[in-house]
Amino acid sequence: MTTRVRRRTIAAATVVVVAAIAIVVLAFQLSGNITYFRTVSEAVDQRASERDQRIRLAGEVVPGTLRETRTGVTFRVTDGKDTVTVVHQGDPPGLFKDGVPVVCEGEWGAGAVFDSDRILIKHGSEYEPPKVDAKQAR
Amino acid sequence: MSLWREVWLVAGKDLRIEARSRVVLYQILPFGALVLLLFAFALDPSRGLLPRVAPGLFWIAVLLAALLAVSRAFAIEQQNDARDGLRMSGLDSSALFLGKFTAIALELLVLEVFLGVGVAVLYDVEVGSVAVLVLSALAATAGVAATGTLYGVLAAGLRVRETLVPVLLLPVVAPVMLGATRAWEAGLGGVASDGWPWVGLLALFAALYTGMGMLAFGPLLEES
Amino acid sequence: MRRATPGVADGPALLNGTLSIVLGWTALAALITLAILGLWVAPPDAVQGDAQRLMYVHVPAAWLAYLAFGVTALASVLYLWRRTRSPVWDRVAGASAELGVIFTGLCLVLGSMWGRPVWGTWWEWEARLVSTAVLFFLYVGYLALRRIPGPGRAKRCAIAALIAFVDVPIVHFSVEWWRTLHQQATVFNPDLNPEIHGTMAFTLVFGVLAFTLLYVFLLDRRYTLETLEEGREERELEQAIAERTGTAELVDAGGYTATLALRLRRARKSLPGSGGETSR
Repeated sequence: MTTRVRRRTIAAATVVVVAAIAIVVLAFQLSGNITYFRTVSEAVDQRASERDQRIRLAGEVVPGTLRETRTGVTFRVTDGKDTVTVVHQGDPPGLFKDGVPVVCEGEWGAGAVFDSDRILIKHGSEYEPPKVDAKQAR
Repeated sequence: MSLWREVWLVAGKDLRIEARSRVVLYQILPFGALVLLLFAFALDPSRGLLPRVAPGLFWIAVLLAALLAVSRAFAIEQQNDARDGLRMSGLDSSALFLGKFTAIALELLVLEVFLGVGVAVLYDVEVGSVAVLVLSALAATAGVAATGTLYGVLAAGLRVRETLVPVLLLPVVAPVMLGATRAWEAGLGGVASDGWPWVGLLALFAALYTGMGMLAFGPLLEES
Repeated sequence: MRRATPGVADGPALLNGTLSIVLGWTALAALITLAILGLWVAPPDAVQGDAQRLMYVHVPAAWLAYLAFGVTALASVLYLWRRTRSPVWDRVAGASAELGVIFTGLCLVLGSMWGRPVWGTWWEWEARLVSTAVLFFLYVGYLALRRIPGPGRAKRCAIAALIAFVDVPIVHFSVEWWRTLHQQATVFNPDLNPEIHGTMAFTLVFGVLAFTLLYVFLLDRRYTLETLEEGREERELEQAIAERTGTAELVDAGGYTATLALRLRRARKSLPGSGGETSR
């Protein structure tokens, strides 16, 4: 390999390595631009600018707020900071109940209510067996 | 000979062939325009859908046209043992790569100008930030051209080149497509400043694939 | 620099024959045990119920896909580096990539089956699922490249494999780098603090072990197949050349030689004024 060719090879290899690292860093920065979902407080903050857009809202179902409506269900979601009422058309998925983390897809409706037509349950990464009630075990 | 003179020699050869044969202009460009047209037939234009999906459809049309352009770029090296000629020319393989890359990129840019005008007219979009649109298109085109040149030379001597290059190329340029579409969404009536990080990402991908192409072109040309 | 002649005396398999058979049966036994552990012995999950049992095959499939593509990448590097270049690495790369595609496909299908009852959807366009689908297609392209014969196949495939491997860390870290529906890593999370214990953890680890045994066994078998196929292509090529030139300098392969001698005799009889070389 002549010196000129070797220099070009090293230059090319350096470009590859640097670009790869920079892409990883930039991808981190850009994770905000392709947010798969917004937390409740983020969605509330951006409500004015995102009023007509289809977004995903993530939070936990507040226990005791689940009600059935004529066409679906309504409940409240919270992320610990803000709470929003969601009106959902249709049946929620099987594991839907109080306290589960959910992702609701839809648009902001009238006022501060979120109209959802799709609910997904977002599971955490821990796995454990069901807790056995000591009284039942006896 | 300096690198840039060698690059210009190779690119000039390819562009001269295109100027005489006009394949990109009379065959690939109409194909791209037809893709845009067919998308409009397939989707319902009356529901205001087209302006919203215009960036994605534009870039898909560009990508499909790029597949043809890459295929053509290596089809011209098929006859008269042209690849042997390249190997024996004494030109540095980086220069060969950059030369072919430049020719493909320039052809794609011409395509994009025409298809861009087509999208603006047919899909009724509003142009926000021209800077974001142009810079992201330059970076995305470089990324697609670099990857295309790399996989094009990989498949250059193979009989199944035309069906092989798409299946190799498309998964690898998926992130470029993502970035280009997001950047154009920002530039076409969205929040323009959202587009700049994507321009940066596209530029980095272009650098990455260009670097990889410069490294791998020589060994792959030997085997083709 | 020793250049090995392909197909001849490289050793037809990676493992000793007996070891391979033992490994195969052990892998089968391990998989059956895994089924028992996963379906009966392990408890259901507190939140997800019995659907969670799919984890015991879905997660091992994912990790084995990483391993398989990692082996392909390593073998590709070893092939490309002149000092270690050998057809062995090329065959290992090809065989391992095939297994990787199978495991990735399995992971996607099982994940989809798990997602429907647990998330509420078969598929979602989020970073983990999409990057895994892209990984699948990257290596399907590699397999397409693999089917094209020729002297440059190994080098082409090696370069394609290394480019494709870039997606593997993206798949793994996608749940950390971006907001996803898919949960974050239970075992290999950034804190390296596993969130699974007891029988469930044991079953998961056992699943990985069982799948690894299966992988090594299948890798050996596929490698052998690859070697035999290369040998057969060599012989077919030589036979074709011999028929064209009318000579019979062939690899002695038992009935092969006899059949060819017969065909040559018939061919020579049909030639006008035949005066071809006498076969040996």
